[in-house]
Amino acid sequence: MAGVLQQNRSLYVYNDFLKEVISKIKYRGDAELVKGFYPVMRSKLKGISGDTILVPIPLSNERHYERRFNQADIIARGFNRDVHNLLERNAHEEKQSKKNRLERMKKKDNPFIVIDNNSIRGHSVLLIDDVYTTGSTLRYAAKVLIEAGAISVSSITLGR
Amino acid sequence: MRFVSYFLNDRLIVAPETLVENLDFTPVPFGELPQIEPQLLNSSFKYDEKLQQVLYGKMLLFDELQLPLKTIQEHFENGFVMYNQGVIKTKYGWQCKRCGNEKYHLFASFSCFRCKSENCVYCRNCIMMVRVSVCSPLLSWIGPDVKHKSDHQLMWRGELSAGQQIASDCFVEQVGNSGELLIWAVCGAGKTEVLFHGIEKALKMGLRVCIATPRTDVVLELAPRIKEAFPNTLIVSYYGGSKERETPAQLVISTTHQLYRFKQAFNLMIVDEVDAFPYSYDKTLQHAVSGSVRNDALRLYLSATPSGKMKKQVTQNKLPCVKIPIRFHGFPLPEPKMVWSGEWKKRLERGKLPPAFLKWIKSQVVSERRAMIFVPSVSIIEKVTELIRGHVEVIVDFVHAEDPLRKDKVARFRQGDIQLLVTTTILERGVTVPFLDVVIFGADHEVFSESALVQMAGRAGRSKDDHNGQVLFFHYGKSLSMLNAIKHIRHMNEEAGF
Ligand SMILES: [Zn+2]
Ligand SMILES: [Zn+2]
Repeated sequence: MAGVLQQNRSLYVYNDFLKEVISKIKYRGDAELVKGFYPVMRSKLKGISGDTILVPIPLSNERHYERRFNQADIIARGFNRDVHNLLERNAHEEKQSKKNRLERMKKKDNPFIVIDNNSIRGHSVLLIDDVYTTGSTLRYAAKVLIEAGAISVSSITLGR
Repeated sequence: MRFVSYFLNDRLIVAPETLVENLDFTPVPFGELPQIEPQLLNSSFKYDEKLQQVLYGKMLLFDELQLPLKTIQEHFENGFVMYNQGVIKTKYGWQCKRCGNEKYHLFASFSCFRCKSENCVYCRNCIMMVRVSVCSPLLSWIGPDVKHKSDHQLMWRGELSAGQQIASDCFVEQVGNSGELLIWAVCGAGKTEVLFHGIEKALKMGLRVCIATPRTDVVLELAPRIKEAFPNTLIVSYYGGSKERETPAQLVISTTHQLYRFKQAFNLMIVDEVDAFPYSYDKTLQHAVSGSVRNDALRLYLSATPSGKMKKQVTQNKLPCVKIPIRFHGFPLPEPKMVWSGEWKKRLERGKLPPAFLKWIKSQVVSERRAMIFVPSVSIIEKVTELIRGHVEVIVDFVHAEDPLRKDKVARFRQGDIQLLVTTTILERGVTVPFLDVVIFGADHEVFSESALVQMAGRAGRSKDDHNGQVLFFHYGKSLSMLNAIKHIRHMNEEAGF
């Protein structure tokens, strides 16, 4: 799977301060706090071509219902470009997490599926998420997008 | 959430969209439903007692109840639960029905997965207690009342001082009536004991009682004392992170913030430190108190330093008041002494302490007594501490509101491991340590109000064995607050007959 993700950019180091802000956004639900990052985000996007499609990393339906918004989606809106929710979590994902480690390593199932291949084909995609930890989430997402015909996939996160 | 609405036997019924299979109904966000009326009570319906106990006297969100949506909906349809709006549109903006917030800048919106609205408006003022938005109903219990048992017994066998007795009698007499009463008790009067007999009477009458205080520390300190005094009574404490919330209690000890969760619940509301920040400054907290009591409730206020507004109400006979001007141990309040210390700010900038202050520090170390040194701002706290350390051998430390080791340091100070504790006004109330002197460094600074100075002075001389603690105001020019604070203390001592 190496190489499917061209590049990741992170705006901030994931330090205690950012950790606290992100947890206030995600767990308390204070979506408004994302807006504090918007000015910096906009300046970071200047070098990225206008044809690139912005795709946030989705939440599972259960998580999305519970939280009522997807933080990645709200972050993506800050770039002042159209946001395309073209990825979805695989419905079997919850069961996957119960499998043991070896089974998970072997698994072919990607946690993501592309909703509409036609919108992806021939485009560059910029994935958006809140935090980059191991990068595996972003690489899984990049993989399905490349398979759906994306020219290249890179990513941007608030923290790393 | 989205709801559908339809008419059944001429009555409007609403239901969460996920519970209705009929696709002819168009779901709308909760806030866009027509006016909801409570359903008629179906007395043959077997209601869930657990739900009754959790929800009775409160306003909670679906997400705060561990019950299936369907169960709650059945209680609504049978007239046991009411769906109330969480955030409503007003003429000029929005209003939060939980905390009363109406400030425009304390509302925001987000693209909401549950109601599918791009702009689901939510309240940021009370966000620390599960977000409430336009599409989240606040549930209340409209079924039968919870019946409390009645074998309450006061097990406290201590004796009241003469001053405490007068206040206690006055309180007992008022229990059962509606209205207000202020107990104006000097720092160290022993106000908790004053509450016991009145609370006992209220509990025996079957009334629901709440003691509210602005600070979590006080809830934690008060709860075991009250539980010990009333061992047969169900008592629950509410503060950010408390775990007992599902127990139906007749006696609740709560931070003023947590009162947002209650609606029309209490017959007797005791508000401790009614003048304390942030309660007196925050309108929505006052709303929380009014919202949590019944219309005919008795409100008892406790304070050592009532606000000017309250004092005025007392002199105009609009607010009944009983004073306890004398401390529990019967000795007068230590009167603060003013000590000129020159331009303390400038000296500090040059890395020096005022000579008068330095002289005191040295004598304090020799006396082996503890001291709290109050400073006007957190920005100078480390510097003052460092400078003191440069002159003495004993353990000196500092503490402020954001200090992660706050609890630990206060405990070490109490045990005597720290002899000199430099602090901001966070320790002006509540902390009781024997053999203590109190010093205010820069007492002329504008952050020190009359009541803050009285409270800080009130830390000294609280125990019988050490009733004569020292209180010093180090200053660069007497402020009005300093003079008023001294006058206030003198006046209380005079009233006590000294
Ligand atoms: Zn609110
Ligand atoms: Zn909504």
